[in-house]
Amino acid sequence: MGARSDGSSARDAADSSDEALAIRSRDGDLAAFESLARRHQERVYSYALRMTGSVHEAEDATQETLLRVFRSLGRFDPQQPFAPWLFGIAAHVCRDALRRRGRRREEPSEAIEPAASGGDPREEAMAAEERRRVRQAVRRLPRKYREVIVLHYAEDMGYEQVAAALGIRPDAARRRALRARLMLQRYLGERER
Amino acid sequence: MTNVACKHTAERLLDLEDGRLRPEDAVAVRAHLASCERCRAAWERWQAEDRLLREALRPVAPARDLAREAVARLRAVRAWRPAAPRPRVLVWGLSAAAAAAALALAVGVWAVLGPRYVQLGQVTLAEGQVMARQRGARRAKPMLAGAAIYNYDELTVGSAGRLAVELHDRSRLILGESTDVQLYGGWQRDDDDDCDLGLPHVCLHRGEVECKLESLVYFCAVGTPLGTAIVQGTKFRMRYEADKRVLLEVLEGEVLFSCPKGQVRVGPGSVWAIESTTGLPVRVEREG
Repeated sequence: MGARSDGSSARDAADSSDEALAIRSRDGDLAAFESLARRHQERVYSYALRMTGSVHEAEDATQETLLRVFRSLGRFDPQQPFAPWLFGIAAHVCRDALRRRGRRREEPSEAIEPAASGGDPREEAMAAEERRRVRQAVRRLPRKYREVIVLHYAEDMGYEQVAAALGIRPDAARRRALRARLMLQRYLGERER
Repeated sequence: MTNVACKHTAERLLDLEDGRLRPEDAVAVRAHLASCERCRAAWERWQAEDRLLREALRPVAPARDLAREAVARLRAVRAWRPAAPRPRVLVWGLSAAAAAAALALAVGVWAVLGPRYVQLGQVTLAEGQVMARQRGARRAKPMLAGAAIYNYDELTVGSAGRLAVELHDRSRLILGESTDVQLYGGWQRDDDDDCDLGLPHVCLHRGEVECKLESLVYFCAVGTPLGTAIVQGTKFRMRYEADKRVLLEVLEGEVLFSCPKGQVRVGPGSVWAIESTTGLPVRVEREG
C-alpha cells in the first residue's frame, strides 16, 4: 500500500477536489485529510447544530463525523460527489447523538448565532427574533423532516443530493420537504396567535 | 376558483419554487395564482418563508478548530500504533518496526480509535503471573480475571501462567506461558450499527497464542517478525519459538499466512514452520 507521508504540502491539498483529497486521505495522507476536514467542518458543524440545537453536541458530532469519514474512506466511491456521502455520515452521527440524549433526557443548550451585518439595530433585533423563532420551529420538526429541511436550506443541497445523503428516493425527500414546510407554517402560526 | 384547484396548487409550490414543474403545469399553476388571491398570498408567504429559512439556518463557524482536533487524534493514534521495536526482535534480521508496520497495514483504518470506543473483550482467566501495561502507562501491573481488555495494549504471561480473553463475538484468545504480546485495534462503538471495527489484532513477540475466532464478519491478524496470519472464523495456534521460527497449527478453518517470501494458505490438521533463515513456510510433522 502506498501510504504517503503526512508532510505532503497542505497547499497542494487545498487545490484539489474533494474527491481527489478523499483518495489521498484513504491512502493515509493526513495532510490531505486535514484539508478536506477543514473545508467541510463548518458545514458539518452547522448541520449538527441545526439537528441537535446544542453547541457541545454539535462539536462532538462534528469530530465524530470527521473521524468516521476517515475510517470509512475505503467505502467512498470517488465517482460520486463527496458532500452527500459526508452528510450521510453526519446524519447518522446526529441520529446517534439524539438517541443518546433521549436516553439521558437532557435539554440542548442554546447556540450562539452569528450577528447580522449593519442596519438599524431595532430592525435587526426584530429580524434576529424572527430567525430565532424559525430555528425553534425547525427544531420542533420530527427528525426525518428536520434532516431534509436542514440539508436543503442550511447546506444548500438539491433534493437529489439530500436524498443521496439520507439514503432515500428523491421523491421521498421532496415529500418530506413539503410536509415539513406545512408543519413549519403551522408552528410559526401558533406563535403568532 | 375551485378548492380542488387550490389544493392542486398548494401541493405544487415546492416544485414551482424548484423549477421542476413541466412547462404546461407551471403555466396552469401560475394562471391559478394570478386569479386566486388566497393562493397568491400563500405563494408569497411560501417565498418569504423560504428566504427566512435560508437566513435563519445560515452556516455557523465552530468556536474550535474541530478539523485540527480530529486530525490530531488520528496522528496520536498513528504515533501510538507502531510500538517501539524490541531489541531481541532485531536478531532475526527483520526489524520489529517492519513487523509492526505490516500489522498496522492489516489493521488499516481500524486505527481511527479514540477514547469513545470500547474494546469489547474481557479477561476470563488469568492464571499464574500475568502482567499487563495500560495504554500510556510506564509500568505493567498484574492482570486479573474480569478486567476489560480495552485498557491494555501489552500483555505478558510469565512461566506457568495462562491468560484467556473472550471477545465481544465470543471469540477467544488464549495466551500460553512465557508469552508476550501487543494488541492493536479492535475497538467498537457499542451503539454504532454502521460499525466495521472488529477484533483486536495481536503482535506476538514471544510464546504462544491460540485463537478461536467465531466471527465470519470480522477478521483478525496475528503478526510476528516472520510474518502475519490473517484469519476469520478459524481456530489455530501460533507459536513464536526461541529457536528462531514460527510454528502454525490450524485446528479448524483456514489461515492465510503472509510472510516476506510469499503467502501460504494453511488448512486444518497441518502444522507449518516458518524458519527465520529462509522466511519460507514449510510443512512439518506434528510434534509430540
